[in-house]
Amino acid sequence: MRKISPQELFDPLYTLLLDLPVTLRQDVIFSIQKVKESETSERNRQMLDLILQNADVAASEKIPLCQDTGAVSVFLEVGLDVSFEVDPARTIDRAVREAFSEGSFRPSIARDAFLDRTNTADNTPAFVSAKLVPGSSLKVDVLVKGGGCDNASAIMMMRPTASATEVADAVAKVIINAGPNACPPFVVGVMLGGSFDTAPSMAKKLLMRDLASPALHPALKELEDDITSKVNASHIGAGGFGGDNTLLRVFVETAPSHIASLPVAVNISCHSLRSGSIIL
Amino acid sequence: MRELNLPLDRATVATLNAGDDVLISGKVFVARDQAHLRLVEMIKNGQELPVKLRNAVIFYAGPTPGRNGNSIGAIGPTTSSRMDPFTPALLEAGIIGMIGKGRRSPEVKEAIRKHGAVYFAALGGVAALYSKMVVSAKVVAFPDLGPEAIYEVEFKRMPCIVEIDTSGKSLYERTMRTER
Repeated sequence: MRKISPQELFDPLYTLLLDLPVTLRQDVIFSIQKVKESETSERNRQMLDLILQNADVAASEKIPLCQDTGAVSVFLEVGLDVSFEVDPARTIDRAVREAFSEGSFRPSIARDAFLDRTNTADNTPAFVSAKLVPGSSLKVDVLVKGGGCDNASAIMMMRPTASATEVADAVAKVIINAGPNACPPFVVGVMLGGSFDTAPSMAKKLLMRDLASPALHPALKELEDDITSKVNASHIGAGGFGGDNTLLRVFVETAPSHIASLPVAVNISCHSLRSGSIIL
Repeated sequence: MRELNLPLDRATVATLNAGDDVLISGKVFVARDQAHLRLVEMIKNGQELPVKLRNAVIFYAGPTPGRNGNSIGAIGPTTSSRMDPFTPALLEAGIIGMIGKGRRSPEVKEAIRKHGAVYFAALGGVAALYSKMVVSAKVVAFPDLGPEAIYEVEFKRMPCIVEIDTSGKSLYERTMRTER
């Protein structure tokens, strides 16, 4: 039995949460620097440059990258040997509350989506999910994500006989429809499989992956390339002002599903991709 | 790159074209979802509004709290389309321009054209940079809304692009390539 105390979880999580809203992920920075070199639109190069400058100012002065410092999503991988003294969701909320106060980040959670939209004033609750895995470790993946790009995301229940082209077209269409509204250039997670409820969660979790990581299967590489070229052909560009680069990277993963279903979950992230992991 | 000093007048606005780069200096009202809901409700009920809308520019944003003595922190545009249902009423009430990001509805484009107004797009996600252009900021209405309160914010040379001009032309529509 591995007992994890609240403090053991709180301390590194609090530190991470103080950092995430002011830190643009390094792999995203590299990706933007890279696409800037081959970008043919002068204006898009300027926009990409502003994003990089913003990241510098944010990191050095601890000012948030974006005023939407996000809802906090936490994906826990809990070893079967792990036990908690206190419900980890409570510890997580405490870390969010204190980090968002100390960092002067924006409270962005409503008490109830329909019955009472009063701001909870402390950015809680976090959205916590947990998976059980063998062993005695606790892995904590944290993503802070704004509302605009989540609003542009989608789940489509496609025909199980849909072709790769049909899937690519459907996914590209969601991303192109998001357009300037969700703050391109984008990073996108696509889950093909699972069920209506598990697919969106898995799609969002894909945003934790490094932008330089290879596709998981040759057929998925083809699909990712097809989606990327279709989206970039729209010429939406950074901020939607026109350019060659609208999609920095799309991650496609697959999973088992019902024989009648092909769930296609598309989770779009804006360019302010902010995430990190803790392993206890 | 044109320097625009607020307040704007309709004659100046009529010379702006979709795609023009501008630097905006002066005071704007920062207001988003909940504030728009309240303002339009008050207009419908014939109540006096807490802010003067005639020739005002509204910036759709919800800033982070300030630190080190600043009244606000990071600030940048939020998605304008969520304010579309309320915009024709505010244009009717006299606002001259809006700053946000993302597409507007055909009804909003038409209302912009009808009232000789303008819609500017700012770049989303560079809120640390924009915070450096804030001269002053204060809450002027609905303080109970926290980050969704109406702020009056003075900017110095904030870069924006004309997205919809007074003729109703859109920059996004021009730059996007659709499959034929």
